[in-house]
Amino acid sequence: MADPDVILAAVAVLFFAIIAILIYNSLISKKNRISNAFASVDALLKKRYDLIPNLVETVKAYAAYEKSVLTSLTKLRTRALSEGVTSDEKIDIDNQVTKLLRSIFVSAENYPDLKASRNFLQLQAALVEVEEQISAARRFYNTAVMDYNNAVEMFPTNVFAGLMGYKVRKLFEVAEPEKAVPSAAGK
Amino acid sequence: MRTLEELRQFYGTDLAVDLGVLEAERKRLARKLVAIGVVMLLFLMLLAYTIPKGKPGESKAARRSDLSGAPFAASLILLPAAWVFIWNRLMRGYKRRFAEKILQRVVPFIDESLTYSRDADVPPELLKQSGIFNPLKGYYTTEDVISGKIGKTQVLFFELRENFNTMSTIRSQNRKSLFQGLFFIADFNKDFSGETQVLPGMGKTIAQIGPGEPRMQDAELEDPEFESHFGVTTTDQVEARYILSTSLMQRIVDFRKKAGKPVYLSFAGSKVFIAIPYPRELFEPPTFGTLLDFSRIEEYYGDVKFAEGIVEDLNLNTRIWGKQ
Repeated sequence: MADPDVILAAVAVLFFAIIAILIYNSLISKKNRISNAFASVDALLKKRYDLIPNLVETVKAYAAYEKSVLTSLTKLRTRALSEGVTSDEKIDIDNQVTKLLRSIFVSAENYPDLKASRNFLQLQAALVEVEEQISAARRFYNTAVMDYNNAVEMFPTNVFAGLMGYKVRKLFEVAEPEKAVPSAAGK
Repeated sequence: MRTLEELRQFYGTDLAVDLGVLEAERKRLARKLVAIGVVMLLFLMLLAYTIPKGKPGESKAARRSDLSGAPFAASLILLPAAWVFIWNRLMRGYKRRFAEKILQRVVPFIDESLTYSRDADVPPELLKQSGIFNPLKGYYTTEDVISGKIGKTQVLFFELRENFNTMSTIRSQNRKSLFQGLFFIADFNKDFSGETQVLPGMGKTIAQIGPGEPRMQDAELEDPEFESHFGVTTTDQVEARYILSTSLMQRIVDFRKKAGKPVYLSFAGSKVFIAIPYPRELFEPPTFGTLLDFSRIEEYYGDVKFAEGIVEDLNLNTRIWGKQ
């Protein structure tokens, strides 16, 4: 008959092995959830970037002296869509693009013809819609990151996270809206 | 939307004659029902009188096996059921005339963009689309259908009553009996393709059957007050947050407080579906109370205003996200 101490030890080892597997799988699942959530954000950012060339052409026709803003926007778009851009860089570019788009729509107030342009209005509505969708995707991403960060920092999952080399991830923070820049043309 | 004062004037001038005629009909029907009830009661008393009391020394078992009390027992169940059946039959015509003469005029008067129909068909596919009601044929009734456009929002609302258990998600206020209440459908102000449900209490995680992701998943949202009242399940996590913006979550919480009852919401097919259980029937004329009391019409006004208010409460007329 087997030694009861040996059986007890075997059961304890099995128990802890199961716990270890569950924690390991849970951490992998949370990490993958972040990737999945970021993929949603990425897809919507691309959808927004696809609207930018049309916006640039429309605004250029009416607002010749906003050229520097439009050029910056185009450069940012090109950089965002190029290969090898990291997630953190994408977040940073997104924040800059958001600021520039806001300034364009604020400046559009100075150009009645542009404001009345059907193309501009449709683009504006489309951009507002995609902004709302990006905001939703950001919220989902941040929920996934928070869940993951909790696991990385709290005991006992932090022990495994340390062994697996998992570190706390950054939340997707939104750029604060800037005050309207006074128009050079004046009102 | 007209004010209550305008409705009072309309009631006093345009509706007075028809209300008078209907009131006379109501009194006649009420007297008939009382008379039938009295006759049935007398019959029951007579039956009770004829039940033998049992012989002295007779055992309990012998008394139990004596079936002479059976007609009384059967009548105790059958007669009230028959009275209710007769009540429904007698009142049917009266309710239809009330709907035609009064409600069909009151509702468009309250808001000219709305129309009323007592028994217009509500397509079962529309109810099924909500995901929170299972429209089994013959198991439910829809009545008092009001439709129209409030601002930019197409709306349809009606009284929904389960006659038998349809195994739907929506339940009555005590969560055990069948659903009876208001069902509201409106065109939502954003386009989306999935399904998101906002249900009172904790959201339930649908048990996964077979491999792959579950169809509906729990969504954890950021508003603690919203999360304390509702559980959210969705087919698309991003879309759920697109629909349930921080401001809409707050509006839903405020609406829940205003309604004072559990509220079931579902977002599907770019529409919002809302079910609110009511302890009383909506838009029903009284049987034993007077029809000439303005407070009755005021109640109908309140019900329409409440349903219309949903559009404003949820800000459905704000159309800035591409959908017009």
